[in-house]
Amino acid sequence: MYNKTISIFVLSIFTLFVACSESEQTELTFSGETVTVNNVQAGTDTTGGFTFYNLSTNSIVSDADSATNNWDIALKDAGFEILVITNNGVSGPGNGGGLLIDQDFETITEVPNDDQFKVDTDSELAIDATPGGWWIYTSTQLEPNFAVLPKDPHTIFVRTATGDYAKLEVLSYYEGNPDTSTPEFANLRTRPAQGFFTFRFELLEN
Amino acid sequence: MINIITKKNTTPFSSSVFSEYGNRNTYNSGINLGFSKNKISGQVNASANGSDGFSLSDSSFGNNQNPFRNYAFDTSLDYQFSEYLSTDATYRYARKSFSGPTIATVQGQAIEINEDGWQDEQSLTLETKWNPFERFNTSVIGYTTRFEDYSTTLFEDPTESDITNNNEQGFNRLEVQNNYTWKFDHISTFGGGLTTEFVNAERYKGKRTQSGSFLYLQHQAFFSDKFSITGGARLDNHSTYNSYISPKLSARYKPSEWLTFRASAGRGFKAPDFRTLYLNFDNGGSGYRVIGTLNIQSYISDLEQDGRVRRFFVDPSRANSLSPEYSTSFNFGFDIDPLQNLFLKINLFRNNAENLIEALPVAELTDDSQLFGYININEAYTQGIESELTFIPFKDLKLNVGYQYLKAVQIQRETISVLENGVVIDKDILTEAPLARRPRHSGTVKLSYQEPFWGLETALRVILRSEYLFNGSQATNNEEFAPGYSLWNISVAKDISEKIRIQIGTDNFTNHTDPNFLQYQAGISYFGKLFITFN
Repeated sequence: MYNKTISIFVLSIFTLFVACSESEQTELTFSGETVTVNNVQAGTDTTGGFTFYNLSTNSIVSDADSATNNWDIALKDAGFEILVITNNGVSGPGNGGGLLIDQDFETITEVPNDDQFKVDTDSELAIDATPGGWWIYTSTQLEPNFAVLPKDPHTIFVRTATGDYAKLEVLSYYEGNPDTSTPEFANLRTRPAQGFFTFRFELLEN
Repeated sequence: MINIITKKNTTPFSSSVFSEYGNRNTYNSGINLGFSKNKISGQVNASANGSDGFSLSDSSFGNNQNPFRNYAFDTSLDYQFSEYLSTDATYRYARKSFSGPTIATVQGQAIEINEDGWQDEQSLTLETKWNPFERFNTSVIGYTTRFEDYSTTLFEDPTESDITNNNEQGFNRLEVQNNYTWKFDHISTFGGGLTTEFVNAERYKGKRTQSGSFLYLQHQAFFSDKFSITGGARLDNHSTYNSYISPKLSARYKPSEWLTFRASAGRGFKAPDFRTLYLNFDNGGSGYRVIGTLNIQSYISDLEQDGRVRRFFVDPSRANSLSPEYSTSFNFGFDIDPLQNLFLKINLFRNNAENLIEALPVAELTDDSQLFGYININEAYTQGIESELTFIPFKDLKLNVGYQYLKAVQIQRETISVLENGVVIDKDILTEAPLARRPRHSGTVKLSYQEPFWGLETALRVILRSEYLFNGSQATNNEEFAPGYSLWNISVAKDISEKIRIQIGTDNFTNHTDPNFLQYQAGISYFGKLFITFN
């Protein structure tokens, strides 16, 4: 028994060593230092389209800069689709890209290889805007009914306009990031307004 | 389906009566008459029971159990033509009626309504047994049953017209079963039959029917006193669903007088019956309604229009159609009887199901009642251990313990995309969630003591259930668990004379009630019971 414990211990040390040396080969890893952004109101067709956002300055970018490298993601509430676009392809002039996976934001340390990022095309967006992509619509099937909830888990990778990498998770689609389990939220009369993104991200600058 | 245990009468004439009365004006009384003369024997039973019902919550209007009155009558007649030919007939009639208040919200306003109704059930069984040769016997069984229910909703406001609901359902089966005993003691059984079903519901304007047939074959091989194997198969043909063959194989091994092993494996098939497809159990006052698959859509939209739906537990469209259920089951167990006063039976089981048909809560209504529908669960399994222990430590004391450990799981498979070494890959994941209303641990403990001085028979019975998933929605973020509980019942009986027996008792004497999760369990009950036998 005693010998076995020792050998497991030695094995663990060895595994740790191998794991460390492997991670050193990767150039970039996420450290877990995230920034949370509250209540960014998505654009709509009536307000003139998208709300543009720059992750490195952590601020909203004016619509006038939509054709520049000044923005990294843009948000739009289009009813049955909720768009998160990146600065690339048909969406912008930048070197951006997007990738959506079904993995827990907090556990992610590695950056996807460059060829894994998708660009926006006329037929398909890099980040799926339909229900079941990064969000779900509860309809009458889940509680609270008729609500847009971020999918648990999900992580959006963003390659910024200038080629930096970020991981991003949407936390809420309602104004003030409300607790969605309360009766106030369940009641459609007292539910806060939708179209307000609360999200967190970690940016790795190249 | 109700199975009536008919006990053949051997005395020329016998009769007995019983009467029981308890709190909430709960009563149950009955009479049994039997006769036997030469080749004819028969019996007649009649009983009536009822209660004032109960309500567990003072704040909400309506009852958990509405007042009810039930009557039942059954009779059987047996005629022995010869030593080799006999026939018997059994008829049963039962009526259940209820009435009580409930609440509805009409155009945003809560109004009181009264629901009244009844259910009638009749059944007739005719069976003829014939033993034409020494090693062969055959029986022909005809069974027919009719079920009718009627309910009416009366509004306090005389301008609102009453809502009535009336359904009639019938089921018929004709079956022939043959047994042949081989010279080397193997037994072969083969048979088959036809079934027809109909439902006549007001909302369908016409009769719906379905029919089926079945054939079965079984062979029981005895290799020695200690070892036997039984193999069989059943073919089901159905007018709506595909034909299906269910095979089954089982073995029994008894190495010694006090030890028996059993094992079996089989496939099974269950088509949705008319009750699940068409019928509504609409006794709203009793705290729940169960709505047939083909009715539930219009039923829910009517309730929604009246503003009577408080919340949905699952997407109601999942309760709109049903597929047959398929299952594969395995059992292994043993009986052990090493001492005169100890008996233990253990069975391990595993059952894999596809399209498991489950009655699940679909919605909660504004009167606190729940609306159930039938839903297919794509993939599920149950496995566990059943055990039974009887122990007689000394002559007058007997302990029975039944215990079940059950793991009941529904499986969801999905493909998710994850990142591995910088590359996105698709990964198949399997998530397991509990099935509703199946506690992990359940059991009963019964302790009987025969008190020697007064001749009192005392019995304590305890029912135990551990925590279980109450709401069966597959939505993992709104699982609702009902707490575990125990129910304690005690009774004392005494035979005053050979013909008179009295019993008093109390059920649920710890007064355990739970308006949220045990809506049909009344609080403490007291009863007194009298049996008289005349011979």
